[in-house]
Amino acid sequence: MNYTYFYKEKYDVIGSFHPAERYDIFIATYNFTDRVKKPPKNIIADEKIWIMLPEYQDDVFLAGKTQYYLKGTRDYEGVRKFCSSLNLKEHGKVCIDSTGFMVPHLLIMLRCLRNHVSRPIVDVMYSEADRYADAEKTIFSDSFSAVSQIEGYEGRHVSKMETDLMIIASGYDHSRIRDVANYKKRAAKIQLIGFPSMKADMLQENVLAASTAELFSVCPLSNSIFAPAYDPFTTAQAIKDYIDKKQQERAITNLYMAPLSSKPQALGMALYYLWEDGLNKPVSIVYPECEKYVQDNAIGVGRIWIYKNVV
Amino acid sequence: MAEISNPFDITKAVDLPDELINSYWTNFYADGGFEQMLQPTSLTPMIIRGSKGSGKTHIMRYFSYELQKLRYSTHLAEGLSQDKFLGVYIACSGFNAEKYSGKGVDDNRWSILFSYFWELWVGERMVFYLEDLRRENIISQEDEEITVRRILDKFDRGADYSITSFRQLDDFLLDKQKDINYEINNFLYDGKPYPQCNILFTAPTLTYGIPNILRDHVAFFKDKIVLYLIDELENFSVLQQQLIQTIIREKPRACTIRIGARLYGVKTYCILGGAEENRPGSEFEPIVLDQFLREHNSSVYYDFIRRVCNNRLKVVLGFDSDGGDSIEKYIEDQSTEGLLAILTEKRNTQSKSYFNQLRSNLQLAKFEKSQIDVIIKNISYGNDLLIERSNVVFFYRLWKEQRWNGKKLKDLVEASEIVRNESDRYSKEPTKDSEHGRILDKFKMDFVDILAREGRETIPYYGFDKLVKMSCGTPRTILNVLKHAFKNEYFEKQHAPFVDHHTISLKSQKFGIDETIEWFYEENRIPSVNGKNYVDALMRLGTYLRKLRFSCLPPESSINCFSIIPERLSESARKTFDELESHSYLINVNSRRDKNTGELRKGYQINLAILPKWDLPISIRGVLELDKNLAEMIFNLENSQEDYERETNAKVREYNAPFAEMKIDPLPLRFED
Repeated sequence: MNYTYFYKEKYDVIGSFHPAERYDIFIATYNFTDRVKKPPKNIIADEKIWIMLPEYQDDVFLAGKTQYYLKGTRDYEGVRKFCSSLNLKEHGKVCIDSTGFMVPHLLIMLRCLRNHVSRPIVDVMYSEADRYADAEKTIFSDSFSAVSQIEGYEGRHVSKMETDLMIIASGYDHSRIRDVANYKKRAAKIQLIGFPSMKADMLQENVLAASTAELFSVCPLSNSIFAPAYDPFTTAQAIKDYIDKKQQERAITNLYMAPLSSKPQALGMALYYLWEDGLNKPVSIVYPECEKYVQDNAIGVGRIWIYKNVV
Repeated sequence: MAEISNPFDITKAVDLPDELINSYWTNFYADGGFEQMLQPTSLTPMIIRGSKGSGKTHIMRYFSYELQKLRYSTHLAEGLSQDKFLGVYIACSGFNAEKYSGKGVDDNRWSILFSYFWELWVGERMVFYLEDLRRENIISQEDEEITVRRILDKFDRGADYSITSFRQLDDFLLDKQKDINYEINNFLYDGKPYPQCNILFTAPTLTYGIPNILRDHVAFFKDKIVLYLIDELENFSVLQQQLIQTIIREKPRACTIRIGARLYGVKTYCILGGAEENRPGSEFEPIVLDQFLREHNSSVYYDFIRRVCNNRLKVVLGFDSDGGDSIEKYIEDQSTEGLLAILTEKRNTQSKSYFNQLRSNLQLAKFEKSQIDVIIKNISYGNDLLIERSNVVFFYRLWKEQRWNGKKLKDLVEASEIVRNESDRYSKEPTKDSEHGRILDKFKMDFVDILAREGRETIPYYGFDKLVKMSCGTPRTILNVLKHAFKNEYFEKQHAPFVDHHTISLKSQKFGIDETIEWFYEENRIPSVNGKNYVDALMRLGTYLRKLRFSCLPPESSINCFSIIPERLSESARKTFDELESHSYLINVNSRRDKNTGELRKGYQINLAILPKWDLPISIRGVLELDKNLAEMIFNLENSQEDYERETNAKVREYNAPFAEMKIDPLPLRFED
């Protein structure tokens, strides 16, 4: 698969965001931020469904809107049931606004839609923040529980572990970087750095977080993979190119990917898994589960992207 | 100039390639130690628990086949014959065991599936090693064919007798691993109610079967055993660990088992079915590795750590430790006298904060300025900081007790005159059998630390001796300190320490210690449950101990140790306490009987690696008794921070002037009759 063949639309400001596509179903996960609430108004869809986590139940924004409630951040069965309940026509058009989604929910939804009997055409939307409330000190999660494989993205792993590899898409949170690195201690670590970053200063902030997590003693910056933080297709391609090259040098026994950075890079890892037949390979995507996820730290609406026909 | 590598850069054994596991290997005693601890040929199973960084993985990997092969290279057969075991290293973290749970499938089914996966995994590892031994011609082709056939005979079904080599069998077992993984990964998306797998054999068919076959049919293994080194057990759930406990209980004589786990890593000792439980000293020998290291004679532990560090320096920087070079010579230290000289020099240019505090306390107690001046003049003692500091403590004691030699004091001016006279007497004849002698005998090192703190100098945690103590039985701690200290020194001086006689300065050591404190919290993070952050209790404890240590009249010297009766704690407090202990934030140091109740009071200290966070000492002297109420305030996180502060502040007031509740009316210059 050559991921550069995929197509994306870019809207530099929300004022210019008027996508022409008409969707059968539009799905978003709600939180308080403008980048979740505002752009979907301009999406044309026969049905718009808002996925709800318990803490957002009574918000006035949601009055009159179709809502689907999840029991909590780990209600993966709820996500699967939601997908099974979708009434889609053959090759129906679905748009998922990934902006407010938790990474595991987004990835499980993509897996489900890929398997859906109607074989829908799925676009994924993402709205960048103008900035984050606390810059490099922004917290996205707290009260860590455990790292585990994301349901539906588990691999056919084996007992040979000599050349295990973990690709960590490093985000801001050095604690989470350390958590996933410790989850597979034996694996060699490679960082996926978002470059170009969404904003100019975010690259340095990411590198700082990785340095704090002490990744550089086992994974020098010069050995990193670089892919734009906003582009899932280039991310998937960069991962593929790196893995293909490494496989020629020496076969990788098990590959783990940890999407700790931007949503588009998480999508890129998911695309790599799904399109490269990760189901039949020793490849999985892992994620740190926490008790608390901070969703409301983004301010404003930056660029808006629509990634076309991803599954 | 070529960049010098940091010999302490990699601190985790998992990050070390086999060659460095071998090169960095340091035995506990100069002539042995870990072999005696692990007893690789003893048939009694062993469970080795230890903190992160205590060295479990390094030790277990050292006894694995990979390292045996590296050590013996061209004499592998002789080496294995000498060892009398084949080390099979199994890392539980590779199993991704968490996916063998939940998803609407009952535990019984998961238990069967996981047991089967375990067998496939262990079987593959064994066959992989046998394949290598075949390549080395230690096992003949005939032995290979017989062994493979015997293994296939053990299958309940699905044995493919076209398989005749270890290589083919290895591929077969890998394919079966992939099959079960695929089924478990996808059954939900395929609309199945549970994973449907073809189980070819049950546990412990291969785990026990292969060692038995080797012993019975392969001449080379007639007098050797298989040593299973099962590491990182904490990655298995309770149900999965029941399988391991069953394997421990029922193992044959052809193999033995060593299990490595974090302190909190063993979740059950029950076997499958839960009917019986393995007991330490009966079904297995228990070892707590950092306790093993800590409880040895301190000079033995010191020597061990010194050799660990010297080994690193030798491998990376070509250190000549056999020729007399040794790390402690390159870690700067500072004597107590040296520090006091600096502080004495400083006090000529800086005000003495302990007198400021005393003045402030006397003002709060409503004494007149003229009286305060007299008191302070009496207590001041020239350039001898230790006597002067002793004077302050002595004065506070008289203030609190209001008596001297059985006689009630007139007022605080008289108290200060007594202090003056005693200090003059001590200065002429410094004996331990004097008030100052007794105070200094108990509190001298506390005074040095307090004077350092008050004089804006770093409390002296430096010097190799102290860094070793602070590692607290966990070698990774000191490696981490040295790693950051090396980096800082190199960055600041543009010259690598340990090279050309360059040392690691006090400043770089402080940097290393501070970085290590941050690292410790990250490394030993306790998973949160219901939003509870157990480390908050540690902050409460450390803050309370610090307040006591730096109070006017500390209740004990060198406060870092407290005693508690954990059984008396509430469920919530006990849970927090246990989590802090099992994650190495609290270290059990000694126990004694309560003199009143006879109950066992257990002594604990905060892990020495993080003590500097609260400016607490690293030596143990006095033990602070925590009563039930205070212990609850600290460890029961259902008590609010406000409640905790109110209770502990009330307690701390007993040790701070004016040693009583503040009254609205001014106190008289004279004590009440």
